Amino acid sequence: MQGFPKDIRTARKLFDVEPTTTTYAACPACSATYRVEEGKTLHINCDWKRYPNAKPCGTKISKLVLRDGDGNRRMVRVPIRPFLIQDFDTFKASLLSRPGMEAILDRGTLFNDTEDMWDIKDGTRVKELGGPDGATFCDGLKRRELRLLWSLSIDWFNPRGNKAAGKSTSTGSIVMACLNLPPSLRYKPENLFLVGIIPGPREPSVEEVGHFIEPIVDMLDRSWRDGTKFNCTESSDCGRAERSMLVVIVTDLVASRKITGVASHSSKNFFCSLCSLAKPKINNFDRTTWPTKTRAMQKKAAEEWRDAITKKERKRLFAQTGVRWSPFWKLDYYDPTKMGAADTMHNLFLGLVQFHVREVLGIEEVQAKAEAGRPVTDKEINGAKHALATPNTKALDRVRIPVLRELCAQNGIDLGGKKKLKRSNLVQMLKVGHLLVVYGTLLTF
Amino acid sequence: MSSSPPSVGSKDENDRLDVVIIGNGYFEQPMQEEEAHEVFVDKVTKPELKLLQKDIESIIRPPYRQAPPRDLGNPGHGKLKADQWKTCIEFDIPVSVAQLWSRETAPPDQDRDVTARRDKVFQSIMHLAVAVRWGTSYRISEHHSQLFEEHMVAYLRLLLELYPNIQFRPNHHMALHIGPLLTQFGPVHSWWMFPFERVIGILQKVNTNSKMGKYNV
Repeated sequence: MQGFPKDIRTARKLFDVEPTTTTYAACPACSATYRVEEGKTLHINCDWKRYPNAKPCGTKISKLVLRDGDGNRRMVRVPIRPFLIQDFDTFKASLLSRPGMEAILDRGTLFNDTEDMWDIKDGTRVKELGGPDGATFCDGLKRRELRLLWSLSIDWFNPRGNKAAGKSTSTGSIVMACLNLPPSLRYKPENLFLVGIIPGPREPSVEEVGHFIEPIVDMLDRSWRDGTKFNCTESSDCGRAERSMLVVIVTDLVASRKITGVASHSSKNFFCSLCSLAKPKINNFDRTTWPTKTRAMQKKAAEEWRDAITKKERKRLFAQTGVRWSPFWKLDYYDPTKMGAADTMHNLFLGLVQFHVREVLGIEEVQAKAEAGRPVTDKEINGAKHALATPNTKALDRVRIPVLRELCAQNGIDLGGKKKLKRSNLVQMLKVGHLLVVYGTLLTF
Repeated sequence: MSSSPPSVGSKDENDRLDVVIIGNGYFEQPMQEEEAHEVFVDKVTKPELKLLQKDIESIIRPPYRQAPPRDLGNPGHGKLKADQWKTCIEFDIPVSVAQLWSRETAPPDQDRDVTARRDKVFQSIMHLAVAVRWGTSYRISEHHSQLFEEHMVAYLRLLLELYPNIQFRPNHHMALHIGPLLTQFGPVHSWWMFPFERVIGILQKVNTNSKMGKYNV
């Protein structure tokens, strides 16, 4: 039993099942990322400047911890807010080393000769893609090089579940799917490339999110420009070259604007990422009359924004063009008008259908009104009182408005005969009122 | 929010508090919901909703279709999943509303204007449902893309006709971009977010208590 691992971590290391990752230290304040390299000491403070003439951020990004696992006691600087990226080449290698996978991936570069489209490669977009040599990227099996196509999805989620109560935090998932695989295999968890998790606790702002995207864009650019050579694959013992290209960025409306740096969907003049129709003209349904956006125009605007020196100048440019710099522009083939697809799941089902059922047909609202008219019970009042007395008054957010009103009346808070009051307003008044009562009792002692 | 605790009860102070809080709310939600609510006048009434819920409960579905909540319309059921909205528009809502509101099923003694208007609302549902079916088909052709666009435009036109003051959302505009995207990227299953949302489901279940636990290779 000599050398038999005593610890599960050692065993996992020996089996080599851990993914290969690169660690970055993300600044807790401004999200600037610094690569953690073996043998190199990490910065203590963040020296990133939001715009060229700004002061450096200066927030602490690393801390000292004691490492003595291997019998060698030492202090090591580790990131306070680590951001891990899975190695693209290692992932592709593990994909290729599965029996039969290489043949499937190769088949994925062939076009079907059917009239109807059954998959993304039957669409016109994949056929237009260009390689670094200027020729078509996906040209069937005319070359020995393996050509892979990918889709990228970024979305933020609450790692503590979707419950309304409790702390709300937001972390981002960055996932890529290989479009060479047939749809039946493409989305199996073992075939999806989980690039990384954007650390919380809050969603990075539109200007910060680029720090997380930049390493990924660099990785994609390398794999398109230089490609990767695998020593040995199933089909050949002397190795095979491979190149990858991003075809489409799949995100919801909010995230798509954020990661590509363009104006938000609530912007008046630039609410659409695919054309330049202004919001007041949203009732125009004729696609041919919409002003178009071009890649060159967008790129120029993005570069101007990046090169602006002051905050004021950047603000002025953004108000004019609705475009900020995004790391995606580092990709030679990036085209926001062609790669940023509108996600049909959010757009049709969570957008239009939800809007129609809830707003137009008024389902959901009908019952909400009935709910509001239900008489207030003693149990509810007691529950609300209890919630008010506890230091964390978050529970009050779940109490019905009539109950809050009743409680206000009981506590002698005059609502001024107003008909419409927001829940937050009522809760605020109750809290203040409650504090006054507590102070009052304290003062009498 | 104001830093000094306002003396509760005085009317002036109350007003101030009101303004501040509403101001905050405005920045969080640029789209004021109340304005939009006033526009829509044709709503499903409570007895009709009861019938609709009864329909939802009575439907026998294939196991892969997720049913909408039995008490659809009751805020207690929480947010609907995208898949539930899909079922809603592909079957439940059109089928139920057709029985309630279409010209053929309207009671003969109903006011003719009401019947005509309700029939139009029903038509708008049908346009949306048909557009969604053409748009989310697993087989796409030029024909699919065209029909999607035709029905989507018809749906939006009808909404505008029924509610001239309607404030369309960015989503309504983005939906009109989907037509050309269908021919560019093919069937939506390769560029919609369902599979990536599933990854999030997996990630949410991962324990983060630094214990190794069960390990799947």
